Amino acid sequence: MTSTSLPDQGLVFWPVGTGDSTTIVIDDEHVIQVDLHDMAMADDDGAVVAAVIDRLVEVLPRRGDRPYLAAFILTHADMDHCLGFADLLSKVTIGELWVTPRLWREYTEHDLPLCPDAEAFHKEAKRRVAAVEKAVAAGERPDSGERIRVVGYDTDHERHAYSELPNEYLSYPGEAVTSIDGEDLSDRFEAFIHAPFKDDCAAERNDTSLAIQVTLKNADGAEGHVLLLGDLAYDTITKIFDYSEHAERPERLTWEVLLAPHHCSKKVMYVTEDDAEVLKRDILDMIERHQAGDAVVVVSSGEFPAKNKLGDNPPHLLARARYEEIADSLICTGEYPSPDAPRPVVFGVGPDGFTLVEVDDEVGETAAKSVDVRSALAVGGIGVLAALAATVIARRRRRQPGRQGGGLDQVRRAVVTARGDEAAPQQPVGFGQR
Amino acid sequence: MTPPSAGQLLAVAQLHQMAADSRGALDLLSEPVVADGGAIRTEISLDCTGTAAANGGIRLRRRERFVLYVGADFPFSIPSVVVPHRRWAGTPHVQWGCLLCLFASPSVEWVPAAGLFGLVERLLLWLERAALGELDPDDQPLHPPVAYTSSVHGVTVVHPDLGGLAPYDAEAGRGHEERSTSEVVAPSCRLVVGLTLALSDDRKDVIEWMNREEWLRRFNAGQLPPSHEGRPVGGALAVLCNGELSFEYPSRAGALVDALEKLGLARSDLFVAIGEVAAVNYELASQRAPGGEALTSFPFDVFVGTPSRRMPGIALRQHLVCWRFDDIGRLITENINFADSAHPALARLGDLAQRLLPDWIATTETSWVQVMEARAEVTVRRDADSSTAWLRGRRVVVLGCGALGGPIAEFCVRAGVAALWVVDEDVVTPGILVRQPYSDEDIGVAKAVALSERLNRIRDDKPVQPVIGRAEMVLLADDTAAPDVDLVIDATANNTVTSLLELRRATRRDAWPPVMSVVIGHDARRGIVTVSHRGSTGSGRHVMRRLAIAGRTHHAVRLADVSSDLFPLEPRATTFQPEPGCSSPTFIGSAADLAALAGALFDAGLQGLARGSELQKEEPMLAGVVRLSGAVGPPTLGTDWFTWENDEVVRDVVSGYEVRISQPALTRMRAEVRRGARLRGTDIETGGLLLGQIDDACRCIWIDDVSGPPPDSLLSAVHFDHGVEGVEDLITHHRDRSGRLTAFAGMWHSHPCGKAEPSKTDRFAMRSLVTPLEKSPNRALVVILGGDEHTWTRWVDGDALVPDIFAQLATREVTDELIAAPPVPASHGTTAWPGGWRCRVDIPGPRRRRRLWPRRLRRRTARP
Repeated sequence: MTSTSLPDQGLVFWPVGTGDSTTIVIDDEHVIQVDLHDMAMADDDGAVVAAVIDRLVEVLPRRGDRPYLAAFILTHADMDHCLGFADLLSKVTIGELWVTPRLWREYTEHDLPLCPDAEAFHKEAKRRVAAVEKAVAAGERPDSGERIRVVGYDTDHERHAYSELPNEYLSYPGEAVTSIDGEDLSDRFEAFIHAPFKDDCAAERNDTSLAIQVTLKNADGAEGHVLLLGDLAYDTITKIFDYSEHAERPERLTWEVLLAPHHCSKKVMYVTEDDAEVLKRDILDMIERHQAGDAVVVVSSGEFPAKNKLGDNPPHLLARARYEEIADSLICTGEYPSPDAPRPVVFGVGPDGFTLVEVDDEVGETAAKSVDVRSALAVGGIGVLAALAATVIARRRRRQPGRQGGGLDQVRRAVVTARGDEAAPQQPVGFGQR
Repeated sequence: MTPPSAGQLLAVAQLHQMAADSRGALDLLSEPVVADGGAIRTEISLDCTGTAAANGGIRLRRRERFVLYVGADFPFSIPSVVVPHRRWAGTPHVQWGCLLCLFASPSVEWVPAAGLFGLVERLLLWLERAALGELDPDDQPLHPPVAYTSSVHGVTVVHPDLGGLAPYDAEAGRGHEERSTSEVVAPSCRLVVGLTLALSDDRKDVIEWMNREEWLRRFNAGQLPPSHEGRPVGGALAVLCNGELSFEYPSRAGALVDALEKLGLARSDLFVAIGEVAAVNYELASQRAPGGEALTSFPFDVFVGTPSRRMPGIALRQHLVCWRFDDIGRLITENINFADSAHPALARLGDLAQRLLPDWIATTETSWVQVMEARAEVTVRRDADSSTAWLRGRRVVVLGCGALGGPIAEFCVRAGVAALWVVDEDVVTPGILVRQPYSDEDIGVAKAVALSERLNRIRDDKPVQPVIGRAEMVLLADDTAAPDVDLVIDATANNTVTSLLELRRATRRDAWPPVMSVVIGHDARRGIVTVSHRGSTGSGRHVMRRLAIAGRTHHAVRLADVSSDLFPLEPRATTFQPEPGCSSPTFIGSAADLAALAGALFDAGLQGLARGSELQKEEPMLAGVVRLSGAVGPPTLGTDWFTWENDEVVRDVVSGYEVRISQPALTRMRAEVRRGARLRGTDIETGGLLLGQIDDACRCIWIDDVSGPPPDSLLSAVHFDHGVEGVEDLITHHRDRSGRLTAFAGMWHSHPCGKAEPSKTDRFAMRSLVTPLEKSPNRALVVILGGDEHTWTRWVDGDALVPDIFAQLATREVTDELIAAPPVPASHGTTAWPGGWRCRVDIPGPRRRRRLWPRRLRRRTARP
């Protein structure tokens, strides 16, 4: 598939370093952003990243004179998931905000610092709760740009303002959401909520992440499925799979695209037991069991290091290796198609579900150079997904030396080294009577 | 739990070492633990990124997992490698859908010393080839489908080719050779019957395939005997499909019948065919039983053939598996046909059987008999491209069943000769058991009989026939016809046989098959094989003689060891006499020596036989010397070859002897004629000595060499006086040098542009040549070269190979009428030239020119 035949619906994973920024294009009028990690031109490690907000402002459909985002979904309030939210809010109309109860807990437990964008998000959430309550009280429905959806449980649910919201604005694990910003999109969109669970509400912030399966349906009836599991780790993800398998709703676990939780953290499948990291085969088997089509694991992170040290933050090479064993392919946003010239990773809905869209350079650059993206959109020659796919990100000059040969060659070298066939002393050795 | 063995600990250490050195390319996913059955189970993951892939190959993920099972006896057992998924099920070399078949030939490919390192390297190679789809390249036979056989059923050997019986595109009129694997064709199956012999409880042989109609026709016509050579006869049904079944055969009969139905065989058709064959089997078994009751019936088998096996090229062949019915199934099938019986009770039985068969099929498990393929169409002979390929289908006589003949006869049988006669007059004695292929129970039995009995056990068609008696009396008794075989091998090392063979063959050498002779030296360190192609001048005796001369002359160094071993100038002082009494002296050598020499000599001989026709024409006589290591002599490897052109053969009509003038001798005569023409004029006769040997047994005269005219000869256009100066010395020289093989044989002279026939003068000379004087020969060959001007000139100029040749052996016994010496023409006395290098005799004047030489020499040396 090339950009000239891009479908209308799909997913865009942005190269934004180690953080999440996922854009879901439901159709040319409805776009959802899940998490945001918008940086300047380069992140701390010097990796080239996409200016997500600028590009969204250019490409998003318009309502009135402002770009329109149907919904913004925040899985949890870590900086690598909400960086740039304040900026986005100032430039774009966000129809509906999805928020987890945890955000309120963050404020009641003062030892948990929030980044400025998380604070801005919380402020906006509170504003919307008030606005919705006001509208409801007046017997009206809130306007687009005022709406909010609180997703998940919290044991101290009742203590917070959002508890007053009507059920229409609250969602819980096990439910499916098909309307966005007050519009029923059930013929093309569905978000099934897996987490956060009530039991986890007081756990580490990561463990309270929102976890959803998003399904997009096209006019031909084909469905694409993506699992977005935030920064969850082994215990919660196992629970998600166990619950849905137990409840006999395996279709809620189906995926052609899996966003590797927590930027490819090994805590998804490795658990520390007795000071030793133990591989948990069960979770990998479960994840593998529910894959469909050309199963792709997307890692939203900067380029993988050549080697991980103990205590390194994600991305973890170990986790990558385990995903590569169970998926047909693995794509790291910081390395796709190459580390020095990353591009958005785009999936369209095709007959086999979400399918990777290969954007060839020429088409991509032509689209990007078109002086007025809006005009191109207006004449219908190019869809939102295509326009996003055509995003060009400045090339990085530095290039790390690549690995020699393929993986099997590396194994072969390891065998030779291990066997010692080609071993020879590499340094002088002193001997003598004294 | 059993602790891991030392080998397993080694495997674990090797795994950890590889993982540590791999930078993540090889991950150990689980700590090795001892699993059920004592093997340790561990899981590894390999980085497969960047592996070249092609259409038709397996699709590798970026990383792949493998489960290794390492047995307690590692590294003396091969670990098994299993993939924890079914993604590769159905691809070649993946058995049970997940077990990787890494080694095609474990006994040579698995190296214990390489341990898991070797295993992982092999796995890498397997993955790379599998990803390219090259595990089963088109130019190699397909890994056949696996049917897991049971040893309780013994084996079934399939001999005849299925060939055109296979169902490929029969309707399109195309042979099975023409279908490539990529074509998609409508499924179809064909049912044929294999005529089967039960050789024992554990072995059945299919000896003929036929279609169902033929099977029934033969039975109804009484042409299916219940036994063949004491072996019960029966039939087996074969379902030949044009589609693949699957890589593994179903374990349940119901699944198999379902699968066959998908391949185009309706189950009703299958059941009818099963009934037909089983009913006949039952009838044949009844006929075999004494009371007409089938006590032991014939096991019922169904072959399933799929087009799985490809030979080089694109031809598809049927791969056969054999499904053995259990007793219940057999009993049911034997009674199906009674359904049509007029007898009510039988009909009820048949009806019952018909209803039972589907139930039995649905519930029973398939049990597979091991099929041993002997079909030429799917097997490649292990000796396919070896020298013995020449022998296949030929008829061969081996003279002598001893240390060389015995092994050679066996080589012939294994190589697939159509018929073999082994000829020997001796019986087996205890002494020969140390090196000849006989056993203790053969003692006292004729060698030819003992040998043929043993060799006939190698092949079911029993191609060997013994001939007891002296080779010369049996094969060579008849001098009117060439033997009706393709090859005669003389392994007697018997001079009588060799000579008689030479004699018989000479009379019709163009009709005689090639002859191979083998001999070995006195200590079994070296041997000689001679090969004489059809039409060549001589056979063993001839070639061996040529080799002996070469060993004394041109190749004295190269053949020094052969000469002293096989052609000694003096008889060996001590001969080896193995048994007391008057046993024939023999050589010393072990069974190992003899096996080595017999194999090497025979192989060399066959290579000589197979040499191109071009060489056959040029040099149709060959001798190969084979030396074992340790043999004193040139360190030659392989066979040291010597080859000869055909001789010029002239028959002496008076004596009946054959005169064989070697090409060097003929060439030297021409050189002498040319020299004489330059020196003395083209019309001046010349001649000289003939050197060679007269063999009264072979009735032939070999001319190996010639000389020019001695210096005291006188030559003119009308006469040739052969002188005597230096002649005796020359003959002595040749005789000594050749070990008495080449001596005075006669005289030759030319009749330039004249008739190649003796003049009156010549006739008189022939008589005087053998005049009984002291030391003069009592017989001598006279050869006259001549020809009309055209013939003569062409020969002299090198445009023709031979002039007209007359040859006659002059003997004292020839009572020619006494003729007076014709007068020497007067011109001879005035114009004759001297022989040798001398110039013309000046008669009567002084010999001035001779005196010039010293003066000229002086002048030359005086030059500055």
